[in-house]
Amino acid sequence: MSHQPFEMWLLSGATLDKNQNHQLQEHLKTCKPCSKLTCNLTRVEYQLNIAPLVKPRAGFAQRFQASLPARQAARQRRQVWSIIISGLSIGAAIYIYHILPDLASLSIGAILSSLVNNSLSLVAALLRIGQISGYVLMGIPPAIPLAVWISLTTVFCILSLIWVLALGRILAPKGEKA
Amino acid sequence: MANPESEWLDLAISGNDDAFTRLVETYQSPVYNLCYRMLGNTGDAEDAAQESFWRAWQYIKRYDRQRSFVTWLLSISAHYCIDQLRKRRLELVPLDVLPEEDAPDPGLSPEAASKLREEKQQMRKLLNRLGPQDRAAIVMRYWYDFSEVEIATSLSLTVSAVKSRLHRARRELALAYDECYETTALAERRRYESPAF
Repeated sequence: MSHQPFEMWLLSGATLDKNQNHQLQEHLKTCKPCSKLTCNLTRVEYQLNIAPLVKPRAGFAQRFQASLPARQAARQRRQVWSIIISGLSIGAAIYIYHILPDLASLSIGAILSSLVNNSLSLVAALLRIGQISGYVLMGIPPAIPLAVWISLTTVFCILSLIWVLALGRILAPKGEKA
Repeated sequence: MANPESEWLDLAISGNDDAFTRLVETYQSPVYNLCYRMLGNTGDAEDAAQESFWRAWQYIKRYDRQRSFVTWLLSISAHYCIDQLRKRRLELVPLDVLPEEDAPDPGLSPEAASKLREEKQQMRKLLNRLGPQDRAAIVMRYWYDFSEVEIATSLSLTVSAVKSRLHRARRELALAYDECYETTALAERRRYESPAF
């Protein structure tokens, strides 16, 4: 015996029209499996409808609030690590791109040696930039009028203050903001 | 005067933790119940509900005010619980070895406590028959009266997929009903039987 479309009607949860309902009732009189399915479905739906809303143990919200500082700290640590890992990954990607044309012809030792050389070159370049900046800063001041120096220092202080405030706002626990 | 809940929501979005805690107090039961019905035990439900609120706290700035807040929260919980159930399957943890229920309310009579425990076990066994997304769809449909469209939005499914899942889940539950009911009732009767029999 075919159970369709009666089984589909039963399980869809949709409202049947008069004709469909009549056909279904006639089918249920003769079909034992569909009759059993209807009976069980009614009982299941009754159980689902009367099942209460289970509540958590007392103090749920307080437990959540107490866990917030630790969760926030863990999130900040994750963010710092992800920035460090991203930076290292980008550096590694740039380096690989740089040596890619010679990669096939280079041995592992040569690659490592090139990595050390490039790292030392990078450090040396950074130190050189620092030295040049130092010479420039030492040479320029006598040539600049005092008024310009005061203006530049004021602007620098204001920008630093804004930066410190913004940093404090980002790093402060959320509850202190409001 | 504005709805206080709406004010808490505004404050929580602007970063006020106390306002968010008020929202946790208001919505703890629906969120916890969803987690409990999905995961089947109180310990995992507590962890999942706490994690759901933490995720809500992190992403509250992205919350769309056009949408119901409870629907948004339950959507977060449902996704989290579905992930947990999938992990459990990967770890091959049998559902039967999960911790049993907490002790029943001491205010209940032994008969009422027994009946309540039996009903909970039966419901747990029934829901355990379903796959994670089917279970979430059934819980949302019967405990929260969500429409098929709301379930589809919450579970990131199409409406036709939700209809299909509800259809399949109802069939599975109806077929499993006798087995779950009889085994639970038998086990419950055995708890109180004299060893002499």
